[in-house]
Amino acid sequence: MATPTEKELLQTTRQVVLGLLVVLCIALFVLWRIDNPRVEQLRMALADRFLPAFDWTSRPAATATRIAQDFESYIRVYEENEELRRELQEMRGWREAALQLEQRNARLRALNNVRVSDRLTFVTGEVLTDTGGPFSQSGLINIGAENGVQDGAAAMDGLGLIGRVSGVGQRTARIIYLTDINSRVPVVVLPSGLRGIVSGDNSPNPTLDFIEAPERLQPGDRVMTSGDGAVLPPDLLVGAVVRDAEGRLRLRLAADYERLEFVRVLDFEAPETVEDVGSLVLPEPPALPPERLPEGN
Amino acid sequence: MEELTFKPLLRSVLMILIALTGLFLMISPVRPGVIGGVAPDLLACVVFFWVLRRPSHVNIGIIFGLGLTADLLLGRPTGLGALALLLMSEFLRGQSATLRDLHFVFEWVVVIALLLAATVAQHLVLWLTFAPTPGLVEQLAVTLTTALAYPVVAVFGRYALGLRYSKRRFMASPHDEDLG
Repeated sequence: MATPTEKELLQTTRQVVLGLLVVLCIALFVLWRIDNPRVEQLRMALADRFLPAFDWTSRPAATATRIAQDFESYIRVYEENEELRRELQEMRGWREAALQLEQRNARLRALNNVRVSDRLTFVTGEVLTDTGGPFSQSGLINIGAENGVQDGAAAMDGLGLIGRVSGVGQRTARIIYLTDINSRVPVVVLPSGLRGIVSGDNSPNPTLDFIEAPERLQPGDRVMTSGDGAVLPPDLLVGAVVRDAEGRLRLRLAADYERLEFVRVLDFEAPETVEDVGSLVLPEPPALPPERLPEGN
Repeated sequence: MEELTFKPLLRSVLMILIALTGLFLMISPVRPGVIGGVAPDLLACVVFFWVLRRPSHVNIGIIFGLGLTADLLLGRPTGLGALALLLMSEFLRGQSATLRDLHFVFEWVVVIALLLAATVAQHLVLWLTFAPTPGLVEQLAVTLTTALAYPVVAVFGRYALGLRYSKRRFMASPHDEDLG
């Protein structure tokens, strides 16, 4: 066995290694604070390497959840039937209204000769993992740069926005949900046209901030992305305004996070912006000093 | 002789596999997108349990690697979680000889106290460095679920893996040939 001096040597080595690792941890933390994007790249590289191998775990887990949910719904099948009937009746009314609106819309468009923006294309992926825990509300999906996913792209379930892509690997991508504490999305509230920011706070209902005239909002108003900042496309459904017990404006999200399984990632290119003056109207702006502009025109 | 050097390595590999399984249980989408759900830090439970029973199988390099992987995969502040895990398990390694003779409840209390201290310390560091941080309450909720999960992990380790404190003195000594 080890002699006492060898033991001491081992003890010292252990302490030195521990000290080095502690310093390394602190250095990594400082790096994370200073140069976050690089650490995010490292994160995605790791996820890209590791997680596709666990594709097979996500499916049984999702299936088990679905079975449990189905079982729950069996128990209250009668109530649910009643509820569905009532909802169906309501929906018929809405369908009628929607049809009429669509026709009117078409007529107005024809009158105005509006150019509708190109249809958005999308790629659909499956949720591999979600990061439980308060630091990050995000999910990993099984499509990445190979499938044309771009950093910053919007992610939706069938109905509403769930978040945006933050970090793309070759075969995986991370989606940061609207409920994440780092999530900020510019939105417009529809009937009033007021603009604001939806910021996540780890609760199921993110807050609606920076509204110019909050008193003009009604609970139930529809909230869509505004497209400000040219990261997310405009006019994606986000949710509806609600007011919480403390009177703060929050959002009931349209996307169903509880049953999140497939995710659409939209392919969106920001529209071109007009920045320079037109050359037809003013041929060479610098060549004409302001005092010598022809006045007769 | 060769068998003697090979076996600890194999046991370390087993420990790493179980710790990684805990990690993947944490991120597997059992209920994807459920907001406000808190998952216990199973990785910490496994590491604590193992480092108390078999200190020589879990060297600090392994703990650091696991902590960093968890930081990266869970989206926690990189380096901070690894540091906390490293310091907590090194503290426990020192207490292994003491806790061996006491009831499990004492071990549990020590683990809970460590987790609480680490949570508060991490929150403080994040607050001091102006990093985006979830509320202390939510972090404490995770700590609580981790504390509740620890006996479960302990029962699993005791009866499924047959890990218990070794009676012999030298097994509990932290010095071994496979040093970090």
